[in-house]
Amino acid sequence: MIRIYLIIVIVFSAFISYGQEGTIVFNRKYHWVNIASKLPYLSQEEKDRIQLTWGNDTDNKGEDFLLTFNTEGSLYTKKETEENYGYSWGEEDDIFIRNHKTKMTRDIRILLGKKYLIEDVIPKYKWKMLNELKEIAGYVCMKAETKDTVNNISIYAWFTDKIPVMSGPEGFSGLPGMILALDFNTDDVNIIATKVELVSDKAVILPLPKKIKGKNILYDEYNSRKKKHIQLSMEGRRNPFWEVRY
Amino acid sequence: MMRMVCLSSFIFLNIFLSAQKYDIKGVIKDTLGEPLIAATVMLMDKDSILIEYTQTDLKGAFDFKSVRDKSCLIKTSYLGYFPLTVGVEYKNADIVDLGTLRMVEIAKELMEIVIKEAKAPLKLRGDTVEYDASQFKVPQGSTLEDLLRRLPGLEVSQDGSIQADGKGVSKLTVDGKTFFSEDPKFAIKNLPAEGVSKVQVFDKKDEEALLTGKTTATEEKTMNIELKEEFKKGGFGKVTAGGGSESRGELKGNYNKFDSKHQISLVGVANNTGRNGLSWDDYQDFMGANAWNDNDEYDYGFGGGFVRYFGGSASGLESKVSEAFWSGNNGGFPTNIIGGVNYNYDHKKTKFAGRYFFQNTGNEKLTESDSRTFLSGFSLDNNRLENQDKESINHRAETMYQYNIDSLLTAVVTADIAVVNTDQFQYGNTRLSRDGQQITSASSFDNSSDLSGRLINTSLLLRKKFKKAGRAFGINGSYLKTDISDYQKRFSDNLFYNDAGINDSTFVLRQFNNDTLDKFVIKANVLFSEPLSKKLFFKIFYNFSSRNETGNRYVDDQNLSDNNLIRNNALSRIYENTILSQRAGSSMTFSHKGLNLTAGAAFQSFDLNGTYQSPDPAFFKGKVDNKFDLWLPYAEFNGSLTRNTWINADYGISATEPSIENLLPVIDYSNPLFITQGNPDLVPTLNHRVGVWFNHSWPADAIRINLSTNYTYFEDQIIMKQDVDENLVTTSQPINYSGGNQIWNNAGVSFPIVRNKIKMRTSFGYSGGKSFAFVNDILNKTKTFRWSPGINIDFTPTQKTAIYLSSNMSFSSTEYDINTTQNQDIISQNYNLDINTNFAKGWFWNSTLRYSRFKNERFGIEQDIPIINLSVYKQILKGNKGEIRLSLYDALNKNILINQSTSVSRVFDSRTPSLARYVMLSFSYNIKGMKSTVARNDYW
Repeated sequence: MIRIYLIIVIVFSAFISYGQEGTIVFNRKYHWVNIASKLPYLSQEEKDRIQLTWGNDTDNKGEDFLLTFNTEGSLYTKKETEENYGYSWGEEDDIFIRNHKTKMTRDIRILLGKKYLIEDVIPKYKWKMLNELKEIAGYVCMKAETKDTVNNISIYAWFTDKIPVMSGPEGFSGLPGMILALDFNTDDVNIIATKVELVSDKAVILPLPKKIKGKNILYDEYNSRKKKHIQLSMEGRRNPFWEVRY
Repeated sequence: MMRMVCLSSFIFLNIFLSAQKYDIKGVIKDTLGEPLIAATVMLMDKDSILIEYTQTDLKGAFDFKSVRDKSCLIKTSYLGYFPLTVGVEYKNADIVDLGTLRMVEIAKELMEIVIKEAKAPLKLRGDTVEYDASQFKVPQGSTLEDLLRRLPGLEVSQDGSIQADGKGVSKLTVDGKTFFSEDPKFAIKNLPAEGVSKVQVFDKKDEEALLTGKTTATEEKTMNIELKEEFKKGGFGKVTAGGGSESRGELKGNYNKFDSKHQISLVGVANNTGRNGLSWDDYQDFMGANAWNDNDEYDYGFGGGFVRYFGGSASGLESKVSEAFWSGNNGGFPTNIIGGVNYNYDHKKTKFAGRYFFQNTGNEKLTESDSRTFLSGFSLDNNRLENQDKESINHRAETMYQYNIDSLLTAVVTADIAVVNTDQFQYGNTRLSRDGQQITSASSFDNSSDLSGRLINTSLLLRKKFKKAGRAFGINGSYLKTDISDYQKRFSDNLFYNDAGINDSTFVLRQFNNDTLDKFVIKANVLFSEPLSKKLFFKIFYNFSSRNETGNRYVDDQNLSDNNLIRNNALSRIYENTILSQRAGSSMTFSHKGLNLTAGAAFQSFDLNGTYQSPDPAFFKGKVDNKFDLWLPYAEFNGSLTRNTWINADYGISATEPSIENLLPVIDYSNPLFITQGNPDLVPTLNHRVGVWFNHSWPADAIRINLSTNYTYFEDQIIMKQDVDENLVTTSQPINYSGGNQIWNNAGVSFPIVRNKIKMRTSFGYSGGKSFAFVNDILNKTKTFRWSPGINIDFTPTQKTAIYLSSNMSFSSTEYDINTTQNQDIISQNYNLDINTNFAKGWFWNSTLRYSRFKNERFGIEQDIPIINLSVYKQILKGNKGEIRLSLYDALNKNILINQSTSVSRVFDSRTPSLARYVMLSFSYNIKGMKSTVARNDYW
């Protein structure tokens, strides 16, 4: 039994070593009720009222994002959908472009109505390994936790070492394998892989935008601007996350 | 920041620990001694923070070079095995050899059932596991017992006794507390599986172990069931009772209980303070998840759809429960009794909402009004003093049922019923004078009305989506039926004066009216939309609406000598109207990169039928049978030009059909001084409307601006043609006239002066219009303008003080091209100052000052109304659940309601004294604690 298992695993690992290119569709669900329920300036009654009126978010289907990765790097952004029923919102989305060789970002980030091009070292996260296993999109994943100092929250990641690519959604990486799910502050925002396609026979080309333009900035500065906005909004008794990506 | 940390720790490690670098190596095998190849091995610091990782080679071996941490952890991971964590301690050797690490296979049932099938996260504590039981699918209505039977590692025997890892479970707790009986057999048969989030099993500690802390291996286990957060039911509520001077009192309570499926809420109010006591929050608390789920209008079409307002009804019969929460100030001395219950159900495919609402409102008021009507060459002033006493009792029930037949097809059914009874008494006197000097008539009146009405309103909607994104189909229909009967008494004594001011004739009116009106409205709408490409969308729709009214009015005159009633056939009438309107249209939308362009056209037809006659047709009889067909174009552009800029521009023509009353070729003599005559040649009015709005924000600086403009040109507007003869008898007839217009502009900007301390919002509005009337064949043009600037300043210097300053003004002028001497300038100014402060622990102060100023030079009116409300309150009880409040309302005793308006041939001004100064002491209790902040929330 064990032997058969091993053979399967060896064949599988041989396969996956070629499988370092591919695409992953992530579904991103923004649970604004959960976010609002944690706002420090609301009274318990106000929080209950939000929960009562908007608490049932079964109609929240989330938005799809696409991570494309090859041996060179990866690109993560909102997936083009036809779900808009004849209405184009025209919102530009952040694009995370990572070069795995040079360990550099070419991220396009939109913050408070301004577009930035961040050419910086890929941010390093301090990952704490946790003892939990879960299956996501057919992969058994392990759990890890990191602290987001900008938002002052915990972010949980589920990664699989069966896709040996140091990458993941929303620019997160640094775990021994692909991150297939992220959970921000326990169900404020959930990102979960719904479809994993590994390609072995043909090269995956990153769908780089034609123009990569934006004001040049580094992550330190970007994060401090974001942090300032969050603090000012909280002081001003306003939910900061309508205007910045959570 | 992160880089800083890395860099500094790097330097630190290099300087102090460079001498202590060492290697770690080991081999990973399974319990049978076979090496595990390509297993992931992670090196972590002592806090489990990942440092680096590697994979085992073909022999299962791994190594980490140049490790700096003195003590660290090695964690291994391999599919199908429990991850293994081992500690590493540096002991002055260059290599730490961990030897063979043996990984234990995860039991097949855990792997397959928990991870693969239930997709539940598996939490590992050494060799034991904990998992999320809520992920296990059991049929609806299953008990905990059914769930436990499915969980790996547990066995439930026929009699309900539980075995965990071969040991008996003798005690069961829920959220750590005993559930009725400690006997697990009882609990597992009675707890619903749906509510369970976690199942934990641990060794039962005996009394000795609890005392000594000494743990011994026991043969018995305890099971703890953790319930899902949503099953820990939520609930909140508040009650306020107060009593005051001037015999004023208020009582208000609401309560609310909800879980993930059910929401139930109650609201009750009784007061005589004029404040109905219900707010936006109360509305939301009462309606729960259905507060903003509007299932009323299903009209499809361009832009705002095909909304046809049939005038509603003056009786308030067709209003909704929600309107009770937004009632305005009617002045006078009102009383209010309100009670309501709401229930919402939402689970899987089904949604249900049902509510009942009772409202008993009363109002006593005295209104003095002045109006001036412009006639040819002179004006007629009407000074009126009216006492009104009104009481209304409404019962209303609304239900909604929604069912998702499948993921693409939804059906919604609604049914509402209502019963309304309104009694009204009005008495007073009026005085008519010519040019404000010469009295022409004086009368005193005593009227009453007893109205009762019933309503039933049902609708059905089907919404179908398709696999092809963007394709959609919707169909709906509704049926509304009302019947109203109104019994009225109209008594008046009228004195008429001649040019010399001497009373030359008297008329005594003693009349009883009996009105009935039956109405039904049928509406149906169909919509289909189809994407032609990724950027091009096609839409086609059809709207149908039919309104039928059957009514009669019987007027009886009371004989003054013998009090017998005699039918007045000149004033009585029997009528039936049917207005049928249909519209079919289609549009094309181009959507790309944030820009959306829609163009379309619709064909609309009106079919108006009516009969109108006296019970004795010899008096009058008329018939209407008119058909109108119209083409209506529509175009809209909207989108986001740049980030944070939104723009919308639209153009369209809508049509308003003439009313049947206006079309009837019948002369109405019911008011001998004001004769009206229908016009069968009327055609519908075309409203050409163009609108633009623009919006831009600078989110980093919290600045927002918005601009909007709307212009409507009226083609074939229905206006009045009046002829006044030498006896001052006015004959009025509607005619079509083109050229009227209306413009409405608004601009606003909001910005912080000192971020989070001083915020300013300003707005500026301008509206204007041109309207017409014919008086004795002379065209009277009236131009109106209105300027309305407004400013708000929010000042929150500290957490404990908030000051809100606002002012809005309106300068209206009305210019008449013929009666230029009657040109009106009405100025109204409002200044508000609110101060909220938390001046000592648990003590709060709230004061509002509203200063209103009304001015109309032509009428010589200049009125200043300062209203000051003050309250001081103290929070009491644990968790600030209670509040005692002492309030002084209208400290200066000045409250009065003012209404002013002008129209093409009339200006109007009224004053209604209202409940003024009183003191009130009230107590409130809030289950979740009173709000203890003074500043308003921006928004969440």
